Amino acid sequence: MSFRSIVRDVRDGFGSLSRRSFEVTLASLYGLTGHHKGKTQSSLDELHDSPAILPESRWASLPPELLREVIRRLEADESTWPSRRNVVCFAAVCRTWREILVLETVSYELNVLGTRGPRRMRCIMHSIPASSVEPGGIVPGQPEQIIPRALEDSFRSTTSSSQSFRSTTSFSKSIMDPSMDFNSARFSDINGSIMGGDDNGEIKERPLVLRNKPPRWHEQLQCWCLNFRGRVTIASVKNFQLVAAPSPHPAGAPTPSQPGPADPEKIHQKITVLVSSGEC
Amino acid sequence: MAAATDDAGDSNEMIRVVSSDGEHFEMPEAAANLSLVLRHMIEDDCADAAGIPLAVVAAKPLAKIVDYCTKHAAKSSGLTIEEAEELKRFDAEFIEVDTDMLYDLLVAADFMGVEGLSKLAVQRTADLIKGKTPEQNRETFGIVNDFTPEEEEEICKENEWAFQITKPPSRLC
Repeated sequence: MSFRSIVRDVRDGFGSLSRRSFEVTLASLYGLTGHHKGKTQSSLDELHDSPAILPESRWASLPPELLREVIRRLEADESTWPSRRNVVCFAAVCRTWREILVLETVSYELNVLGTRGPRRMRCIMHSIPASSVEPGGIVPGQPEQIIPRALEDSFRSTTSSSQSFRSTTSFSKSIMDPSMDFNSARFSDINGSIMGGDDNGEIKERPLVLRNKPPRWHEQLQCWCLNFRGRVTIASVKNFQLVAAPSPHPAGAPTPSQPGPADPEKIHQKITVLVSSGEC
Repeated sequence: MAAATDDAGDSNEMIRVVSSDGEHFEMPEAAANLSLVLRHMIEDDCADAAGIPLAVVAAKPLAKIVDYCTKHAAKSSGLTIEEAEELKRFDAEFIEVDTDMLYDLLVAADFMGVEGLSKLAVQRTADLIKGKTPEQNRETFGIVNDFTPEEEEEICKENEWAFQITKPPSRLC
């Protein structure tokens, strides 16, 4: 599809979007004048009530991708890593700011040896279910797998459901509503439609959790070692390899313990390194 | 993609944009090109006399963005050291705005794909956060503390280590 036709779709989208907001305004008017008591009226009350109870700042709900940028800036400017004071303070401001940092990014755990030793990292991939790393697993979120049902509230009104819509989804979305981050749509958000949902509230699929592969202490070199198969040449505590966390333990255990001392050898023969990063 | 209008190749052409609240703005094409979204629209021949509608950018931030792009487009290449310094001073002054405007600029620059301005606004936000306690940050950005007292205590305890190097304030959160 050419960019031109995408833009056309977007322009059509503008049209239907404004029609939609017109309808909403109309509905609100009805509610105000009391022609339609009942549902319209009550939803209007809710709309009016909620800001009065919680006068929430726009900053608390800054789009996640922008919050992440700010965190990146904070981290880049932080010269004293061990304290990471600014980032920690950032995370203590409010729930949304905390969640973006605790969940959305890699978290480093302190280790008993202090800052020089290997760190422990945990990386929760909300967009990818744990099953995707199993044999035959698939990664959801590919355009042909996204079922519009989950996203209909955001998308349906912006287009007249043409088949070509899916390929333009991402672009029109970014035009329409910058506060939604479609590209990083959480796995848990679209989980319901892909997995068919579960009314009992039991989540069948867990997000993929990656952990860094614990390095081994090399007696002769007197350092912690990870096998990067020659691709890393500079020793650094920042070198790491992420592997899928082997524990089939359901979500809810916030900090999985390190595998027992006897286990790692076995486990690491079976699992594949998914991400490796090092200085070379 | 070739532009088909008569004067599209003319770099002096003025591009019209329309804010979400219906105000019209004009800027040189070179300035509009600093926005990824506008550049794509121009390339795709969507910039007409009616103006490009920017459905989520209000007039106030849009006026600032037009200023920013116009200034930066005029000084885009072959900068002398003095000019670079001057542009830096312009940026520093430009981003001295209240948090309301900063928020609008942050969101609008991201939406319009104005990379330089995005970076500037993100940096300014980070600078405002730096060195402040969580409570001070809440004040700055008008954010309500939505943690329960138990959660707050836990966060404080959890983060104690982070304050060990600097002088520990009497109350962390």
